[in-house]
Order: sequence, then structure tokens, then C-alpha cells
Amino acid sequence: MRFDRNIVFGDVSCDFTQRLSIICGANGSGKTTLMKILSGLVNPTSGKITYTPGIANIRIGFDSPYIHLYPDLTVREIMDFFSRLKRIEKYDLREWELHKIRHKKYKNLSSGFKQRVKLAQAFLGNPDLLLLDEPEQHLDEGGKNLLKEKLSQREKMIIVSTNNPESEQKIVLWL
Amino acid sequence: MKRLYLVIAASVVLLPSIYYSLVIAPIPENLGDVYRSIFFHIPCAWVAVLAFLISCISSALYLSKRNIVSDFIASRSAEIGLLFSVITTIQGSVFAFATWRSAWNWDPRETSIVILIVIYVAYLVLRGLISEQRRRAIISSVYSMIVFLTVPFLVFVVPRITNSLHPEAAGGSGLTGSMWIGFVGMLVGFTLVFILLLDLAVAIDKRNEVLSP
Amino acid sequence: MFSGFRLLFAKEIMTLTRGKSIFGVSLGIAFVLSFAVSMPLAEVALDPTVIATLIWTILFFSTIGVHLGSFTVEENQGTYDLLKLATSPTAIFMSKVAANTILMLVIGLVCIPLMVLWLGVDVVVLPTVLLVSIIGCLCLSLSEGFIGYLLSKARVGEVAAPIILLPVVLPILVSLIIITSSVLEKGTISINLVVVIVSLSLAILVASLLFLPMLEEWL
Repeated sequence: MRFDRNIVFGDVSCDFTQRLSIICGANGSGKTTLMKILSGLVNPTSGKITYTPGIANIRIGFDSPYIHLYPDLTVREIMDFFSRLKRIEKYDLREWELHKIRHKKYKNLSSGFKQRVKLAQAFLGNPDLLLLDEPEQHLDEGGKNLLKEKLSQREKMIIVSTNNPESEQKIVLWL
Repeated sequence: MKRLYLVIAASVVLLPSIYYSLVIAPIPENLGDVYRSIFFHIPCAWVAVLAFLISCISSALYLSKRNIVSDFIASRSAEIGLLFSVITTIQGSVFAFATWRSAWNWDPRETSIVILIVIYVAYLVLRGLISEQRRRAIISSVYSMIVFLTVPFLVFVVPRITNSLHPEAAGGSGLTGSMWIGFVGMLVGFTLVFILLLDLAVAIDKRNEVLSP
Repeated sequence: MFSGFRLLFAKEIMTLTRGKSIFGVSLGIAFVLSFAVSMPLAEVALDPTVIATLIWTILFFSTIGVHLGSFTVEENQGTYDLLKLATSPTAIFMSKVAANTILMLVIGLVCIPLMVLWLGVDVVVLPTVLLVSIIGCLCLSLSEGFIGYLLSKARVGEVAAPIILLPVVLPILVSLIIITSSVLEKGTISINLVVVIVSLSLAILVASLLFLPMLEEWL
């Protein structure tokens, strides 16, 4: 992948077959770019990604630090909007302990709760592929435990990128 | 080598034509020597329009073939077109002032060329703002196509503002007999100069592309 | 292709009108400018062309933010990517253009009658002026939408927006001025020019819809 003459990364070849894959790399190593490529949002300069079964049939949940949700909408409105957009019948704000702050505007939330709303949005409707870019950012212990719980409960594929891997996690790709 | 031939051809055509138009060409008595500027005015306007047309075609080519050289041609041609259209406008204003004591008359052609200037200033400003080469090429090419859509509409709207002062619009070419010789010479010469300028500018871009780290 | 359009449209209206909203600011600018221009001219008998020019230039410049804001904000805050994962770019684009058109109409329908009154035009022509305003706002919105989208993809901010927008809307703006001045003077609408601006804005819209999927793939 390159922007003009700056090659962000090349020679990446990887099969994501496990339930949970961890992508690791320092700042600027191209984790976010790779996540965008994996989600189909950006086309790679060269190379190819193959999805089984085809990208059109995959529902993708995505979160990345560069995303900031609508500041003037409340948590409830944001979740309602995304669930209806993804055609999801129902969701539970309690899952991410967001029910107490549902009437607060997104811009007035603490960064930890902002991250929880973003994660809740990504997890909506149990997508086939979940791409989480540095999901632990800004989360307190409670938030991190919730995230771990959610990740371990999931049966479908998850790809997580981080610059702070925990020793027990198996890293699939070092950038 | 190709460029040397171009320089020689341009000189062979232009030098006698310039001499003819400035010294020999017969001029209408009521207008005086200022009339000679017409020999420069029309070729300048021609080159401006030709350059903008080439810019637009190259943008379309870039979108279909995605060859970056087409984008170099589109941008450089727009720059040269802008230069010549500014010269045309200033020269026209000087002529208008000398003839009618009024430098600006909102003649449809005056208006049109300023609209072309506005369009291509916008195009070049847009290009100047985008730093990533591929993104710049794609977005400015699409912009060029969209703006091109408005041109036929302008042709309909502009003449509704005021009447024309230009002789062609008033029913005649304004040129007589031997004046055509000098005029055609200038037209060919200016076109050759344009090709030379465009070739040089695109060569610089190509070299930069190879040299940049 | 247009799935989720209504939902997206409702979201647009909500985000554009809340908080320190683009809509509020644009309406404010249009109102203040209209007043600032009309007050010094209170005692001057103005030619209808001058009035028409003032109306449309003020409306064009004060609503630039409306046409650009929704695209650039969505791109900058990254939510555009989330929308793209759930629906088509065409649906996103059309919902934004539709929302911008409604907001532009509101601004136009507030400021144009005010200016017409402040600049001393006979109230009898007001209904016709309003009809022209509706057509004008629609055409301006349709043609400015795609440039707003392009600028958001260019990631260049909004500083140069007036320069980049003007060439595209120039035929529409000039035609609107001619139409409005004829309405103010004779009370009649020039159908030819209405056809010109409607067809130009539709042509731009069609071209936008053709280019949109290509741009999404290329950028």
C-alpha cells in the first residue's frame, strides 16, 4: 500500500482463518490502513484480498481511533440510527452499560464512554467480520473487562490491531 | 532534437509574420497602428482556447486510461491557457481603450474569456490544495469534466447580458486581402510556441516524477 | 441503491440543525448580510437587476457552508466510512443533497422576502419571487452538492470553496439574476432560462451519480 511515493507497507501476505487474529505494529506502521483495506473501504495499491464467501455477503463491524461519532446526537439516537441502518431489529444498551447515559449527547461523554459507544456500534447485530483498531484505547478496567468478555463470547471472526499486545495473545501479523 | 525542430519551425513562421504584422500589413485608416495588435490578439485567444480544450481532453483521457502523463498535460495545458487568456484579456482591453475609450465593455467574448479564467483559476487552486498526486489527478479531472458541462449553458446565457463589439459577431471577419497572410502565419506560429511550451513543461513534470525520492 | 435514504436524510437534518450547527450559522450570515446591505440602501431607488444581484449573491455566498459542511464533517469525523460499510455511496450522497436542499430552501424563503421588502419592492410580485426562489434554491443545491462531495474527498477544508464552486454555478446564478430581475420589473418569468437552469442542474446531478461510484472505487 502506498500514498504517492511513501510505501506504507508491502509484502503483506496473510490468511485470517482463526476466530481471533491480532495485528501488531508500532505507530505509523500502517495498522489503520491495513484495517481499512481489510474492511474493503480502501483499495490496496497492489495485491488482492479474497473473502470467503465474497465481500458482498459479509456484514462488517468496524471501529478505529480516527472515527468520531455524531457529536450532537445522543447515545440512544446514535445507536438507533446505526441499528436501523444495519437493519437490526433490537439491541440492548445494557450490554455496554450505556443505558444510564443514553440521553447524553456524544460530545458530552467522557473519552472512555465514547469508546464504549463506538465499540457497541461495531458489535451491533453480531457482524460476520469484526475489525477493531486499538479497541482498548481510553477504556477503564471495567470497559476493558467488558471488551474481553464480548470478544471471548463471540464465535465469528475478529481482527484486532494494537500496539500494546498482551503476552498471552497470539500475534498473527507484525507490521 | 524534436524540440530543436519545433524552435526552428516556430522562428521561421513567427519572425516574418511579426515583421509583416507590425510593419507591412495595411491597416484601416480610422483605427491607426493600434489595429496591429489584432494580429497578436486572435492567435493568443486561439491558443488559450486550444490549451483549455487540450486540458479538458487530457483530463478525460486520464480518467479512462489512468496514465499520470495525461494529468501532467491537463494541468500544464491549463496553466499555459491561463497565461494566454490573461494576455488576451489585457491586450483586448488596451485595444478597446484606444478605440472606444473604454477598457471594459462586457462584450460576450470579454465575459467568456474571464469566465474561462475563473474556471481554470478554480481548477488550479483545487490542484494546488491537494498534496497526494493520485488523489489530485482524479479529483481535478472529475472537476474539469463537471465544469465542462456548464460551458454550453454559458454560451446560451452570456449573450443575454450585453451585445457584442467583436466584428465576427457583427457579421464580418474584419480582416481584408493580404492581412490574412500575416494573420495565418501568426496563428500557426503561436500554436507552435504553445506546443513547445507544453512539451517543455510536461518534460519537467516527467523528470520530477522520475527524480523524486 | 437508495437503501436507507429516509433514515440517512433524517440523520442529516438532525446533525445539521443541532448545536453549533451549519444551518444556524448560514441562516444567521444570510440574515445579517441581507440587513447590512438593505439598510444603507433604504432611501435609494434601485434597479431590479441590482436587487436581483444582491439577493442571489448574498444567498449563494451565505449558504456555501450548507452545501459543503455535511460532506466535509462526515469525512473528517470518519463516520463516512461507517455509513459506507452499511449502505451505498449513492444513498449517502442523495440524502445529503436532499437535506441541504431543504435547509437552503428555508434560508432562501426567510431571507428573500425580507430583502424584497427591505429594498422597497412592491409586495404584489412576492409570490412569483418566492416561486423563483424555490426553483433557484433547488437548482443551486443540486449543482453544489457534488462539488461539496469532491471537496470533502480532496480533504482541503472549506477556505477555497467559493472559488471552486463559482465556475460550476455561474450559469445558474446569472440566469437566476436575469429571471428575478424580470419578475421584479414586469412580473413575468422567463421560461427559457428556467429550462436552462433546471437542465443544467439535472445534468450535473446525473454526472455526479455517474462519477460517484467510480470515485469511491478510485480514492
